[in-house]
Amino acid sequence: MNQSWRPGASLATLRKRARINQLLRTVSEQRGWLEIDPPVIIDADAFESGIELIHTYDALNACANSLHSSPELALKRVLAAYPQLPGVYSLGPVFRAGESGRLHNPQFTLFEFYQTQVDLSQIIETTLDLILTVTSDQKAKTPPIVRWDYAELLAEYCQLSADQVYHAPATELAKTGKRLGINVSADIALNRDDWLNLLLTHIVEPTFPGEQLTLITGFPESQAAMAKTQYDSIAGMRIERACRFELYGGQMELANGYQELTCPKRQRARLSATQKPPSTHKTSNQSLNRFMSALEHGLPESCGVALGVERLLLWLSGNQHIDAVMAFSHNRR
Amino acid sequence: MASYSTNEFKSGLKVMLDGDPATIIENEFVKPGKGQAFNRVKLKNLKTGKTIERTFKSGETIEAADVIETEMQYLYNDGQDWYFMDPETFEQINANENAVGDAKHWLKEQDICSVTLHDGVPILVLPPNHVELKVVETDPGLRGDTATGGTKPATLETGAVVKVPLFIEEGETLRCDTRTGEYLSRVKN
Repeated sequence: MNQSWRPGASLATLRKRARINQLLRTVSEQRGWLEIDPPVIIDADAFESGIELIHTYDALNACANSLHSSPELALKRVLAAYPQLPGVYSLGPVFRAGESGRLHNPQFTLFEFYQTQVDLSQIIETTLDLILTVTSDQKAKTPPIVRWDYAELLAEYCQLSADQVYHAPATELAKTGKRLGINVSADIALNRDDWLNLLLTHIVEPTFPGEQLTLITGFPESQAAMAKTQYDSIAGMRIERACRFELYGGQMELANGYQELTCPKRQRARLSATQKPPSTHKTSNQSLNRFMSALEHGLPESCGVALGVERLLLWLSGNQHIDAVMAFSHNRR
Repeated sequence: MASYSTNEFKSGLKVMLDGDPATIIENEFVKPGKGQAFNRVKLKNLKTGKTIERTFKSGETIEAADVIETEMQYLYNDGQDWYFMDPETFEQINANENAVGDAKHWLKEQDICSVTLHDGVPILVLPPNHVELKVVETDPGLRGDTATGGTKPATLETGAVVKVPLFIEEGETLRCDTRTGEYLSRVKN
């Protein structure tokens, strides 16, 4: 008999999930962060590189809308309106078109939080602290934490110089990729960020031990459209890099954090420079416009982090497929 | 020309790769949170038998292989080739070692197999998912031991070696899954 009516997750895993949700809320409350329920239906086209939105139909205005891919726009608008808050967060479903696989599902649960008046190094410690709180509740052993600079990581595993990492054209990175055994279909055009990502997913990530938390900072400026950037001195060069971190649990991305870009002019320029997925449905983009108005009003200095709850649970439980940590993944909907 | 998009990729799908028919062995969706989505695919070239890895941009399309999948009855092996018969036309066809691959350990005379043809030539042979085969060699059975959960190797009449429970004896017929190479159950004679 077809068993797809049953939950993919075991009862024990569902209990763990509920427990983690509860813990995340408790920790947030202890830090004085306010829980916000963002609108899931937004009036915006895709605005971030590589993230395609799922479209819905707005019968009231007879136009296209989208399901949000993160609560970022809404949470930042709350902060702009009430800058006295120490932080805000939301814990709920987000949607991404076309993402389905062992570690992806078109709908997943994101725990996204923003803390005001902190810089990237402080939010990194907050994030690690939060992960360790959940880990110590679920596992006896404290995981080792290893920190890498993006340039050093690619130097170590791909023998690229800092100059190559931040400046080499796509063709040069493609040669490195091929030398390391990455075999891409001949019919596709890849830009330098695509190649850097392939080096990361195919060559670097598989070297991360399963139990380890790995933290990466120093991403190229082009890989974080809504983050501040700063000039770092690397190998005698001044390089503009994103104030972004990525946290891996084993070989999986668990969380991504930014020091948020607060300047509306720069934000506008960076969003228009971002390569967006082609949009087949035109919305009137009110949600993005309102977000820009909030930036113009003034966003307090803040950092934000998005943590994938299913990924965290995969890492903690050792399950191999996202279907095993959700009640009903896409194939069981 | 028929083609498949990456979101139709799944193991067993037959595609054209570098001018040769190939079958998908494994398909993994790979996507960094802030980047382009890719499909990292393992394929087997059905002409050379070689396994290759190829990364596609998600949404890319690839030409479908110009192959015909047929059901044929396995007849015999002459020491070099394996012979199959179309049960409707009684036409016979021979497949070489490359096409038969690991299936050779599971082929039992008269079983109906899936034979993939390219330009009329067999390029891939798959045994039935479930087969019933006799044990020709295994250590003496521990009668009544159905509880300890221990296993031992058993050689089957077609040459496959499977892990079986300790109580299995030579001469017994077993039901096995050829995809995983696992013992499923005893078959009562």
